[in-house]
Amino acid sequence: MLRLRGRAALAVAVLIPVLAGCSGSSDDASGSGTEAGVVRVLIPDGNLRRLGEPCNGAGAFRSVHAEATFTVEDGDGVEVARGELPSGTAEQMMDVSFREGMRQPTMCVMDVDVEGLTTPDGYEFVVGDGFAVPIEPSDDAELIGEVLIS
Amino acid sequence: MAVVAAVLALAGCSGSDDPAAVSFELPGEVPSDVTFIDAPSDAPAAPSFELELLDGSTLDLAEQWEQRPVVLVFFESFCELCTQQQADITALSEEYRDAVLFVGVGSATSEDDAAEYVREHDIAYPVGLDPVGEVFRRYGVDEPPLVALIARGGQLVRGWPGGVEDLGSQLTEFVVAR
Repeated sequence: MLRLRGRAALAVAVLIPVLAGCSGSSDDASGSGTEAGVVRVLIPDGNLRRLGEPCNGAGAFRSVHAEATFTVEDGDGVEVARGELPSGTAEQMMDVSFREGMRQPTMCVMDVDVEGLTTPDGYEFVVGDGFAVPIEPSDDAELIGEVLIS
Repeated sequence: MAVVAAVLALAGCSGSDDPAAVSFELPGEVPSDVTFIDAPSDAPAAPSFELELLDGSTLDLAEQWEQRPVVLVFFESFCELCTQQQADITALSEEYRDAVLFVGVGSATSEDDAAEYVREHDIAYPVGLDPVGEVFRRYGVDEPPLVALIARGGQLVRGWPGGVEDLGSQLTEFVVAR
């Protein structure tokens, strides 16, 4: 176990937050400094998958995948948040009954933690090969908003 | 000072000087007791291609499938399903080491991440990248994993988008007699 004392401990206390956010970003425009809100990202690729299995964007959406960098921009194009996408989950895309366990057209859904974002109003989600989509309000109270990649 | 250096190293912000240092093994002579199954006469020809491997060499797939069946494993390092299926694929590649050539093909993955994936999963078969996505397009890979099975002679006999759970059974059904 590493024990730190005095100035060493202070240096580490200062360095860790700096290093943890190597790229940094301004979050004044979005209100809270450190809270993370969840934005649900819907990727309507229609790829054949089993419901519930892990996924990334397919076909034209292949640039929207786990570990891809995203940014959130305000109405003036100023970056207010930045992060990496998580892996998604395959969800039903159309209201058709398929045999259980059968691969079916799905969309890939990612729940993305966005640090500092407390409202969807006026913000765009930017990701992949030039996708820039407004963040829309969500009926789900646990979400800050939703993004339909298109 | 030592503490600061340690924190920098642990934070991973200092970068790595170590290049994608991996090496691969190509199969040896096909064992004399192995018999290959001919592809159905209506099986289409597999698209041929050359692949730049992570170790810097180039693999000509058409040369390989003239001698033995080939299993193409399309993957990405960030693909969770690929990770879930990799242990079985790695084990089969060992079991069929000289009889069937397994080849990993990534696209959007960086060289460093691909090399890390190779090390993490103890992969000894050749792995390369298709950064432009041409090989992915020719094999209809919309989203990895996808496993394609090519018989000796170069006919594409099966492809499994989303991967395959019983690849061992598929090998003995379609390409290697047991």
